[in-house]
Amino acid sequence: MKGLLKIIRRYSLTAGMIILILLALNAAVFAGIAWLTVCDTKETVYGRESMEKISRELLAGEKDVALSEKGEKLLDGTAFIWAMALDGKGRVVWEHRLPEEIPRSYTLQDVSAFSRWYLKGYPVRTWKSGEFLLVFGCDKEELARYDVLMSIKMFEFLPAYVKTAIAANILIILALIFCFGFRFYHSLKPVAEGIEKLSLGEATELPETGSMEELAKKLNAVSGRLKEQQEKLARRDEARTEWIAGVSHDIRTPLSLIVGYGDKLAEDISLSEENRRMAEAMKRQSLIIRQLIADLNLTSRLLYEAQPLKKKVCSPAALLRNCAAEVYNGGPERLSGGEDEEDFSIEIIVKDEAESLKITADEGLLKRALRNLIGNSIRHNERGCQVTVTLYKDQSKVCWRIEDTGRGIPETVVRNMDRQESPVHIMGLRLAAQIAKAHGGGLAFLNRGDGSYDAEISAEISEPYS
Amino acid sequence: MENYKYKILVVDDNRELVNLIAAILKEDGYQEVFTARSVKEGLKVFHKERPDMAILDIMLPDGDGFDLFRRIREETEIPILFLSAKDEDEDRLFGLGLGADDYITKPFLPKELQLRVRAVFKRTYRREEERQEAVICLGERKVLPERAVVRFGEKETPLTAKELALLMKLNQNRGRIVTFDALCNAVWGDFYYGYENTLMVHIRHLREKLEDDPSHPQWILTARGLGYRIAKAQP
Repeated sequence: MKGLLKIIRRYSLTAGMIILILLALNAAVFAGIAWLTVCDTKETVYGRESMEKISRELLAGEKDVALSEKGEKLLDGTAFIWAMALDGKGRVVWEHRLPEEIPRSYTLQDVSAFSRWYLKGYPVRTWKSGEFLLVFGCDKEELARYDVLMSIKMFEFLPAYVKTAIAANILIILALIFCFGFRFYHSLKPVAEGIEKLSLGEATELPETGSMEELAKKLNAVSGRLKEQQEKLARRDEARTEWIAGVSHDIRTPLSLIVGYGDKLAEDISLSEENRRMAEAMKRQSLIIRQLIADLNLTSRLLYEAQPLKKKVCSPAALLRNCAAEVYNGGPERLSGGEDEEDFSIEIIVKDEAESLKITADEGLLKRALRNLIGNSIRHNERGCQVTVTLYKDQSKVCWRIEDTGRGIPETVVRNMDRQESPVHIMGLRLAAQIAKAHGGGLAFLNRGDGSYDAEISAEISEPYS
Repeated sequence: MENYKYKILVVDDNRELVNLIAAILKEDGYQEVFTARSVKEGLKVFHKERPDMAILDIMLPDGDGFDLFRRIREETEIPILFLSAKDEDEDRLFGLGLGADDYITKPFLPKELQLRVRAVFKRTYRREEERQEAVICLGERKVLPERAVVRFGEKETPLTAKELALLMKLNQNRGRIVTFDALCNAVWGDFYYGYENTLMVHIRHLREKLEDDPSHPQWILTARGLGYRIAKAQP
């Protein structure tokens, strides 16, 4: 969900940036237009400067009023299309291109009206020139005029109003960004959750509505396919595990007969020494087969995750001592061991920091792994050996190192650990490795320097026991 | 033990195996071993012979051993052992959870079967007074648990509660190594960590009371780095 929050944050920032850029662009365009308008010559000539200059060129004679030549030129240079001068009685005393429809005399009311509005549809401007009133007519099609009257109070309030309006706009924009962002987050959340579930290999079913409909449909389809594949795999794994369990079950009864009769023959004093020895070998090998099928069964169950771990708090040191005592007391390993197995001894070294350690683990499985490793040392050293198991803590792991004074683990075994088809028998070691892996650890081989190896098995120390 | 007086019923669908089991048991002194190869036949033989123990396979042609177990238990409390080719913990726990006295996984050593059957008979039929009068013999010294004393000739030396608890735990596993952890657990419970030194003191006191020469013990033996064991017979 962290990813989703990142997306939403980026979305909000982007939206804010877009709005700021738009506002800046608008302000620039507005300023540009204003500047251009101010610079427009035509507009300039409508200004008071032209009117003042022209008014100075209006010459009043005794009988008539006229505009000087300079005044004429100035007037032609402006955008005014006509002009006239009124005397104090409202009569037109001078005119310049005055259209026919424009009256030639005006009352005070007329003057008051057109000075703030239109004269026969022409927008006009007026300028007092001595005792005359100059009236300039503008093009109807080009200009419009509006008389603006504003209270002083309103005028004084204007800057504050503008500031408030801008602040309010920014707040509204931010609120909208947040609101849309939240909606966006809300609609994306189930999709993000769905993707997260899929990444963990879990099935997901999203509602196929709203703006995420298409995405949800596709995710649901992927989830469906994933579920189908998982079910197929689970069925295949289950069938394999069941098959192995079935075979191992069916082998056990005939094996009981071989072990039982082998034992009877080995004890039968009427048989020759040689025959009794052969019967004993049959029995011993059958017990090895028993161990092999038990290992095969467990290894397949661990491989296809059909073996639930029965985890509980236990002491690695106590577990090791118990395991060694079982081997001494004649556990399953002893029963399938060699003839001269009495010559072995097990030394236990528990480092100080490991003595009080507690871990959460499947005690039975860990004991099985340790038994396999200790048993290997005993079985493969027919002339006897000393097995030393050292227990120590290595950061977040607890390690059991199994060393022996015998031949150790040969290099061919170590090389073939990861191969599907191994030319050497390594199921016991693989089982130990699987058990360690199921406990967050592993099986490592430590080179002795003479081409043989010692084994070290580890398990993770889960909180709060680390 | 007078094994000949006990009758045993063995139910397994494999003819060869029931014959082998019968032979193994007869060899150990049980003269009356009856066999059956199905639930139906097993019930019939059970009603006819009224055995003192039943050994049942779990997978039978007309039902399972658990059903047969329940039917027998409706009528009697005789000890029942399961003998199965299934070694999965669930089956083992289910069988023992039903109240079975033991669960043996195939293939088994004949000696293993004999020992387990003998142990179940001993647990079930040992007389109460025998239990009360159980005496731990360590050479010429005898420990009387009921009174918590060691008798040596006319002299009686008392044992403390902890010493007796340790001795009982060791004696239950006589001849086998009992780890420090199991001993501490038996005396101090689950939270025993840190009691190892105290354990050594108690063992030393026990040796002083039970051994001729406590520095060279003959009965309470040390398994270096693991625990202790009581010697099985006269060393």
